[in-house]
Formats: sequence, structure tokens, C-alpha cells
Amino acid sequence: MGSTGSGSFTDYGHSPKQVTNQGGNSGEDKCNKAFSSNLEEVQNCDYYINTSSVPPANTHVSITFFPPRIAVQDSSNQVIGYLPTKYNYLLACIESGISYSGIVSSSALRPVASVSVDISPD
Amino acid sequence: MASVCIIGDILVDVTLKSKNIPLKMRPGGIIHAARALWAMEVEYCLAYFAPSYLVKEIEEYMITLGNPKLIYLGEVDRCPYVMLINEAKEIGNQGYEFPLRDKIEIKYNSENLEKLTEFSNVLIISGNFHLKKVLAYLNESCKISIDVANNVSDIGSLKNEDVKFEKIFVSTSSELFRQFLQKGKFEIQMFVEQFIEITNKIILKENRGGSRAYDFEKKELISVGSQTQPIVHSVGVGDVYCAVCLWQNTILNFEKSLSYASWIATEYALTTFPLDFKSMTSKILKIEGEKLIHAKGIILPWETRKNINIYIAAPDFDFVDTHHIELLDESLKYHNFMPRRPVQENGQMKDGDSQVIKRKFFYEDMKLLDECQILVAVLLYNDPGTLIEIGIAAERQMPTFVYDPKNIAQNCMLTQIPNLVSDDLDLIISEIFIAASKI
Repeated sequence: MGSTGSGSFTDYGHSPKQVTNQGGNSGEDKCNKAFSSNLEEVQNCDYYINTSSVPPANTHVSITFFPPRIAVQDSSNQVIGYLPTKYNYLLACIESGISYSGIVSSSALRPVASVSVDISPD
Repeated sequence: MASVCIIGDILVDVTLKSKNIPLKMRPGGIIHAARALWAMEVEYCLAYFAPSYLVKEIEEYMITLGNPKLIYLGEVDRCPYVMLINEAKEIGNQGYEFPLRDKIEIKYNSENLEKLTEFSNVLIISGNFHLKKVLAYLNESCKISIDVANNVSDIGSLKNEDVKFEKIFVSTSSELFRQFLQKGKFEIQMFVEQFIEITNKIILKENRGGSRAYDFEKKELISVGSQTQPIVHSVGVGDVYCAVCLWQNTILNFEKSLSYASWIATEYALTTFPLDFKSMTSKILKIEGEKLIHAKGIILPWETRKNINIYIAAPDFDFVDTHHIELLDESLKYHNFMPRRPVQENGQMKDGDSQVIKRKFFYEDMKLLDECQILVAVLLYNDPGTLIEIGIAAERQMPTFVYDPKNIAQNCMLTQIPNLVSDDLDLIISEIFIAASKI
């Protein structure tokens, strides 16, 4: 039976496009990536509390750090909801000077108040 | 002179090829900690044990990690020093295979060991070398921290070293921690107190549930959240945590250093591209420590997880291949959650059972569901019981996750009602941590 070999370390060298796709960098900075997400705790946030509703699709939104969470707010700075924990890395991106904005892609009041957003770096 | 010296083994980590992931081979052991120090642009030293065949590879490789000072402390013989890793994400037990580990012999290089006297701050990552031999060469005033990996199984051996450590790091997946659990109910205070005489600070790394640290001088317990999310791998992530904490604590207070450790360790788990890791590390270091402390993340202490009953809705029958259910069950137990399997607990209905018996099964399963806070369904086929239980749990607003290893969920009710449907068990486990931390 023949054998296959792993000729050298797969993250050897720090220039992109190595033999495998694990060395150097990926060529993508995740701070520069757009994303879509459902928001959390919509029912406990200012927008829902103040209006008993959710923002309609295409509402302009922006992102801010509202300790302890990354919040999504409308143009009058009312918090609509929070991004899931996996987006906490955005804090590092924001602190490096990148800002983010986007739109509400869909929203619903039933069965529970829910909002989805599309966000991209400015 | 280098600010910090990492002491330990260097071996080759081989993450075996799987269906979706190619084979990955990279230097492991203390190289993981080295990547963290390189990413933080810290001047450091590596004092290492390795087989002689790896020395040239290490010297060449380390040029790409800041070209630190290297000290070859001893030659490892009779073992290839290759770690085979079956499952890189620590969804459950990772299943490391270390061929010929019982044969290891080390020829210590006393001339090089003498060079350790020059360091004032070291991190030892326990390995196959004799700890006592290394400690004997360290200066009395040297701050010695140690990450107790799987080669130290009881605290007695640390107490015998006659050293007051600066920091002891223990992971919930370590042998030492698992041994402590044998003594009975886990209480954090009892756990930390056993270290009172031998260290100034003890840090318990609790995987995706965060970490807790006790500062004996200040008599202060600190909890730091984990930035829990789906990961690419978990190999060496704990070592990165230790190295970051150690270095940051030379310039910042303990709580801030723990927060940076948590964030940067998460980034390490999210990529195997060294430059991506370095780039995000430098961005994280730009965040004020105070802000990081406020961005808490997930805190789910080990002992709390035992109270999280997780209902496993699945065709868990003796005529079905249940290995996906077993894998979920083992993974939940590994992280100290309490999976509940209705068929295992209440029994399996037989063809032709009477209405009375059917009703009894139904009531018992519903009672079990009442005792649970989270439901995870395993979708092996369109089993009516499983699908109905998903609906009941969702209607009760229980966090409801569907593990769909065969990607069979198509119906919009099934795909939209649960909080998550995924064929990725790592993603399911992460979401369970997040949901459980909010209960």
C-alpha cells in the first residue's frame, strides 16, 4: 500500500497562498466583511418598549457598543436589539476605527418580536 | 533580554483529515503560546524539549514567529513526538493519540538548563520532562507560572516541588481537574483552596463557559466571560490564554489581563492563518481593558451546567443506529451538562402496546420535558415523536435546537421554529452554552 506524505508544516511561512490554505493569511479581514443576523432581546430594547412595535424593513441602522453587548440602533439612537455574542469581535474592529451600518432586512411582531439586519462596514 | 520565557515540549500536531477538513500538520506544544507572544509583538524566549530531528525544523519555523531566543533543554528519544488529533474542536473529548508516549526518554542538557537562571518571568507548560529538574535551575526570585496540562494528575506532585508559583492554570479538561471531581460535589472555593500554599493566583479555564481566577493575596474571585462561538479548532487555545494572561499581567491588572487572554484565545480558535490571528490580536489590544471587562461574553461555571437539563428528542430506539445521539450525549456530559434521554429513562414503547401504556409513556415523557430547560432534537429521519416535541418545546419558548447530521430538514415549520437547525455539532454545543448562560 502506498503512503501519502505531509511534506512540511501546513502553516509554515507567512505569505499567502501556501501549498494548503492554512498558512500566512486568508486574504480576508473579517472586520471588512458584511453580514446578516437576527437580533436578540428585541422585546427588552428601547425601540420595542417605546413603540410596542418593530422597525419596518429598510429602516436604516447602525452599530454601537452598549456595554455589555454590541447593539443595533436606529437613526434616533434607539436600541432595536443586540447582535449575537459571535459578533463581539466587532468591538475590536470599531475600536480600530471602522464603523458599521445597514438596514432592517425583515421584521415581525408575531409569534415574538423579531428583527433581522444586513450590516456592512462603512 | 526577553521579557518572558516559555518552557515545555515542542512536538508535531497532526489534525487528521476528516470529511470536510484537510489534514493539518503544524508545530505544537509550546509553539501555540509562542504564536500568542509573537502576535502581541513581545520579545520572548522558548526553552524546549524535542527530538533532535525536529531541532532544525523548529529553528527555521521560529524565524517566522519573531525569531525568539531558543534554548534546547533536552533531547526526546524513543518517541516520534507527534500528536494525532481526531477531533479538533473539543465538541467532546478531543481524542488525542500520542504514539509511544510510555517510551519517552529525555537526555537533559545541563549546560543549556543553566541558561534558565537569567529569566525573571517564566511560563512552564507541563509536559513529559521532570518538572523538578527544570525548577532546580530557575532563579529564586523568578516568577514561575505553570499550565497544568495532562501530565500532572494530582496536586500532591505540585506541593512536593517546594515552590510558590505566581500563577497556576488548570483547565476543566485536565487530568488534575477530572481527578478533583472524583472527590464529589464541585465547589469553586474548595477547588481553589487546595492551591493556597503553592501559588499566588489560580486560574480555572472552563472551556466555552469562561474562566474563574482567584487572587489569594487580594482574596478576590474574578469571573471572565468566554466569547463563545463556533470555532475552527481548539488545539493550543488554552496555552494561548496562559501566555496572554502572563504577559498582560506584567503591564496590566489581573482582571484586565484575564480579559485580554479570553479574547485573544478566542481569536486563536477561529483561524489557523497566523497573520489573521496577529491582525485581530493587534486590534483587540487597541480596546481599552476596562471596555473588555464590560463586554462580558458567556459565563457558565462548570458546576452550574449540571443543573441544565437538556431533553434529547430523538428516535433513540434499539432498532435505530443511534451513534449521532450517543455523540451528542457524550459531548454534553463532557461539558458537564445533564442530557436527558426519554427512551432511556422511561422505556421504549412496543408494537401493540395498549392505550393505557401509551398514555403512561406520554405522561412520563412530558414530565421529563417539564424538568428540562433546553431541548435538542436529533433528526435521523422524520420521526413524529421528535417533530412534535420540537413544536411543544418551541411553543413553551424553551431554547430549541435541531442537530440535523443528515441535512434532512426542509419543511418551513421545521426550519423556522427552532432557534437553530444545523448539521454542525460544534455550532449546536456553542448555542447550548449561550442559551444556558441566560437561564
